[in-house]
Amino acid sequence: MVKKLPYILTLIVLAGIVTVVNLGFKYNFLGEDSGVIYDFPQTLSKVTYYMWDHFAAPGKINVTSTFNFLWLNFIFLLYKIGLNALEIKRILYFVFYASSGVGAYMLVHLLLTIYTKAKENLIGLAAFIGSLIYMFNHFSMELGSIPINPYHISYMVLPWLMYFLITNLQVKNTLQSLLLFALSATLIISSNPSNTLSICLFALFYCLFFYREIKKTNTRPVLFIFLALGLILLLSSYIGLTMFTVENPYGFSGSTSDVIASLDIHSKFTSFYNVFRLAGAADWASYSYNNVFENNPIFKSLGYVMILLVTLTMLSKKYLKIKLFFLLVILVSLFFAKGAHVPLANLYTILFKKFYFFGIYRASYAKFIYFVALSFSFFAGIFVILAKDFISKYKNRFLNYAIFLIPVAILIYNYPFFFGHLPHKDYLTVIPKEYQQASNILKSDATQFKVLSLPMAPRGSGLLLQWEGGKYIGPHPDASFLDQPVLDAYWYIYKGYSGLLPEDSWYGTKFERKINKLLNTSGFLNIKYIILHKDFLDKYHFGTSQIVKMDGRIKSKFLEKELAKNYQVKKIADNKYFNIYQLGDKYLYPKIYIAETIIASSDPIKYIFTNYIDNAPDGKVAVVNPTDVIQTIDVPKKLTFKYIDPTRYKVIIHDATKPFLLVFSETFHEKWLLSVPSVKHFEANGYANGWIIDPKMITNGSKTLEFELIFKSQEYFQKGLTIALSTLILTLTIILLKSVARPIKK
Amino acid sequence: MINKLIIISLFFLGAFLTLINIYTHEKHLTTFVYQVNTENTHFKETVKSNQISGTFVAQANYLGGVNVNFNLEESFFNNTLVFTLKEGRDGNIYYTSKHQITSVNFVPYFPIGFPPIKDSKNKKYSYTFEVYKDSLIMSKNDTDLQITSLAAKHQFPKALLLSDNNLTFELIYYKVKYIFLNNNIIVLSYAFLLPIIYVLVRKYLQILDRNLVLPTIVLFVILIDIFLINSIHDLTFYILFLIWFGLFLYNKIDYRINYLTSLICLIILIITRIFNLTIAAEKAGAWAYLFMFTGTILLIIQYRFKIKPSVTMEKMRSKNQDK
Repeated sequence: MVKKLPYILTLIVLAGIVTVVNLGFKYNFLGEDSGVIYDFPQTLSKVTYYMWDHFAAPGKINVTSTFNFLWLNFIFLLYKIGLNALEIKRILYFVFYASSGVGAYMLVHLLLTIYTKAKENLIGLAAFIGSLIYMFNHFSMELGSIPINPYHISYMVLPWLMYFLITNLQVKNTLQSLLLFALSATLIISSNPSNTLSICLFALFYCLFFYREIKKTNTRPVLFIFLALGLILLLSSYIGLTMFTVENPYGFSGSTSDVIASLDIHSKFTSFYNVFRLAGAADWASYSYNNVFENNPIFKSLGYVMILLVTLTMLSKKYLKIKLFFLLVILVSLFFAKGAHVPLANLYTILFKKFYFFGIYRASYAKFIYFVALSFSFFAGIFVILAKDFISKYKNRFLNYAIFLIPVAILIYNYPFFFGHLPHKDYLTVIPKEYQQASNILKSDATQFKVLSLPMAPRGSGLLLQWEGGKYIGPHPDASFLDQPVLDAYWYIYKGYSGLLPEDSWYGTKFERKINKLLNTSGFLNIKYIILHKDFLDKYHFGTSQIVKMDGRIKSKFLEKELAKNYQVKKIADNKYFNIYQLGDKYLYPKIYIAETIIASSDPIKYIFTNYIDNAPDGKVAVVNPTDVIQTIDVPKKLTFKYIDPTRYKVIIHDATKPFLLVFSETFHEKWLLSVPSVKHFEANGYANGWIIDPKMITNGSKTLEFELIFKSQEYFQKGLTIALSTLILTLTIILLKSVARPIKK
Repeated sequence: MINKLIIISLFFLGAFLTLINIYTHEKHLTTFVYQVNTENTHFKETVKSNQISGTFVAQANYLGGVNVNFNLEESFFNNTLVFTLKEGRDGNIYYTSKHQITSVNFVPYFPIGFPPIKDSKNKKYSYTFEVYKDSLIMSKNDTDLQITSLAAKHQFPKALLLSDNNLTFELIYYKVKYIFLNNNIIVLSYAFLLPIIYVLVRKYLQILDRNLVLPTIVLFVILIDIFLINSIHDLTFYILFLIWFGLFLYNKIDYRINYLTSLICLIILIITRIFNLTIAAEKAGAWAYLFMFTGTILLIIQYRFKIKPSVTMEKMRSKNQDK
């Protein structure tokens, strides 16, 4: 360990330099997939611990809470020890690079020790060079351009997972090493599911490929595998239990043609001449350093040194089996990473058509290239050992020192890491104080409601805002700003409002012209407030194509004028970034209500959009499918409900004698259940939950009904968490007891 | 002796071809052209027009024109383009001209000439390209006017060159500098590699095993495909790859020869990348991969079934030493 320390410290120092140089201390690093939620721990906590995400109104099952649970709790831990959002982003950035580098060092060191039996000093140097390749390459450059999020876990934990796996299989297995392996596997599971699947296959491939070598060791590999699988299942049971009880937690993720179109975008730069140098991101052309790597002959040539070294190394017949293993990994990964390029350019299309699930690999470059990076890292190490062997024949002092040129070349080639070129310029920004304090505006309203966000996000995919301290480009941030459920207005286009098309979310004011008419339907969605952004961008360069225009400001100005005409809408906040409006009582429906009128329609959404254009519905209406209509209905006199948490509501109904229809304005999901028997659970108003409740089935003559409305998956999630925590505590206790008992025995 | 003569002749052939190429690209002996940085351009859209403007510093005297390449959408066609050149950012207009944009005259470079400015060296010029929304399509176009490249053209007067030695020397200096920056010309200087290729091929043929003759022909076809055919077809890869693989399997050739061939393709890839020959680079990359793949499959087969290769690298090396 002492001999490893200088190298490990060097890698940690390099990670520190990369963090400071690239992020500095002035700007926040936000946007992309992580949005702003990491900066609002209050909202984040509600997303982390509950299986229903009511913030993404009208609500959806929350995959984040299960998959990203460990990652999000790590962030909470950092908040708990008193760090702020700015510092946390830097720590995450540092952890990403330090963990990747040190992990790769440990893995390559272990592999070279097992398979080459070279001198320890040489192995140390070789592993260091290998780890530099894993830490600094075009893919880790790409990963460093966006805020660190759970997607990064696969890259930073992969070498550790393999290190603990091989240690357990071929060196020694103790309870500690078993637990470390299981924990790293649980971490991997909490990252991207497609990456998890590929990493599982990679680990399995290693076990099968080196079956004979593993069998020869006295580490009881079979017992280890069974114990490890059991431990992983228990530690990740909060994921397993919840995921396996839900049919498709992700919902509809696009048709085959969408997936093929997405592959085409992701394949733009993935021809072999790019993936050989680990480059090929879809927005490769938009990076500031792209010009150097595309035009400078020295950098162009240096990029291919690693693939040249791999090929050269294969000419030697030494250490053939381990080289063959990693070469096979390279070949398979490169083949898939190249996406829709020759040879076999149509393979992906065929796979997508035959196996729909393969669509999870449409971002071909990002899904496969990290295996190539890991294999390159190993090959760099083995090359150093073979080269040293070769050089020693010549007894030339200078040749001995030539090895040190390799790390120098790696660092020079990866100059963007050390000149602050990594972060995408639009992700370094400052959240205006108006947004930071926006939640105070609605804090006094204790009722349950939703906020409508205007103008709509282009294609509903996220907002593009211009602030004084920079831009915001990322998923919808309003729920974090307001700490309230927010419905993006694109929902209306998605549901077919007035024949509008997705293009209308980018250009023109077709939707905006109808805003006051549209508000007549807002009761069905439990909308009480509107947030109107005045900071929309007019154009943006997405990196993959030309500059795209959008009529953000035109839309927002138009909306401002239209809303001012409506006397039922009251402006309650106005600043240079946004306005907030409160809707009048005529529009309001509570989140949970009893339908006074039930209307049958084969297409409830269409009915709502076409029949409530000029006037809001009279009384509390529910539009349901004809098969769900009940003949005898009653309207109980009073309904009260209490919000307990996003997955639990307490409902009290007075004076109920006959069957009635209860509507709950969150997206319909079969796991929303009543704690009492109901006649039927179905979709009401084209999206919400509706129950026909017959009081006779619940009480014996009493007119007051009291029950809970619960999201069932939350129970599984909590049970899973209990199992995982108990397992962890139990294992740690055993380890602790063992370590205490050992010195006593002696 | 004959051998040496061939090498010398090939060297001169290389030199001759390079000179011819330089002449083809530089036949306007009194002009020279260089790329101008277009990163600092500004776009402005009004009701009437789309405008893009920028500045550059002239590197020599006698600035006499620009060659511009726009990223034009179809919606820009059939509209009027107005070019304006000013000295400095706010100086007087030096030159302005009107042009009709058609799909024909904008591919790939649109040349705009103006009377040469005698003392342009180190002076800052600002240029503006303004496309007026004449047609209906243009009036609702949804993309910005973008310049993908801009080249400044200097035209030295012939009479003056004959009388002024300093000016002649300056022009030669710029021409030479330009030649070394012109990828098209550098690519043809590959011809200088001909003698080296000849020596290598000759050496290879001397040690060539008869089992390697057919693979050599296939490799030759692959090289022709990489360098001479300017399109990519999946089918070419399938056919050539199957033949190559079959030959190696049938003749029991050492798997490592594939890694050597892959190395050659990787070197070709690097060279073609340096000279921005994208299609050739893509093909070279694909072949480098396929050779690596073949080598690996053969490695597995030869080890798994304990096949002793009839042609090995060691054999070829000893044959070379014998010769």
